[in-house]
Amino acid sequence: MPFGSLKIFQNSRQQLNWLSHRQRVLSQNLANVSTPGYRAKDLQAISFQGVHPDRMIPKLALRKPDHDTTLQKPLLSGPTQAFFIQSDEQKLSGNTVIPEDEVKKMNESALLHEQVLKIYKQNLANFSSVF
Amino acid sequence: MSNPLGPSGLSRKLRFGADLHISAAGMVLQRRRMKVISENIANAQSRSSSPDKDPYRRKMIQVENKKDPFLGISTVRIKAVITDQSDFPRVYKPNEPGADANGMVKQANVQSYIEMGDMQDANVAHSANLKAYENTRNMLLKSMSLLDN
Repeated sequence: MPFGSLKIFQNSRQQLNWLSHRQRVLSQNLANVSTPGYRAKDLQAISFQGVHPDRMIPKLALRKPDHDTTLQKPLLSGPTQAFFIQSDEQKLSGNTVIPEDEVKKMNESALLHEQVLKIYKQNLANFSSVF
Repeated sequence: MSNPLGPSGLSRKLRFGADLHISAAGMVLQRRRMKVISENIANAQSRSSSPDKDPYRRKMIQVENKKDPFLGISTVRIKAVITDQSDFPRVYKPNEPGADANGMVKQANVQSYIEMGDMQDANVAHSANLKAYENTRNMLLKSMSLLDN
């Protein structure tokens, strides 16, 4: 039985893919904290609310992004396109990256990544014990 | 192509290592920036040795975010090290060899408090990039732990 096609695993894979994509975007933001004119980016948040338990596919809010040169080839198809975040703070050079915010977002992503990975492992173990 | 662990070697073959290079490039940039700032601070008090010569001129770095042809992703790097073209301040030191007819000597156009602020900024940026590097590495290791039974 192709486990990879099961919705429960596809859901985890989508979330893990989104999280790894986001980690790349946040790393780019922090690396460019000194680049003049660089505007901080982020990915559209995946909403896990209102997910039908039978479908197990989160509703992803699509949003037309600005052109992003760092995400040329998304790993999986889906709304992993980056958009420029609204920021009140801007340096004289035009840079809008706030390091503290980026580190905070990264920590949140890391915790979510660990959570999703544990769920994925648990599902894998459950299926392995059945078959 | 000669160094197997360089950007064109192992990291190029193992594509997941590319994300780490983003944060590594950020750290390298901040470290080089701190080196330039340290040089400015060290030369802040230097004065010209003769009236027709200029003293130490403050250095700055130009940063760019460019696509790395080997890795296929954009990394940040120093475009150039440029000098600050602002005027030199003058101090009254009539006994020095660099003094002009009025006893004024040109001093380096470095303001220490600005350099200290920049140094602090570079420190924070370096720590943040290190945190990003560790986070990415931990995510990769945890993903690889799926292979454990």
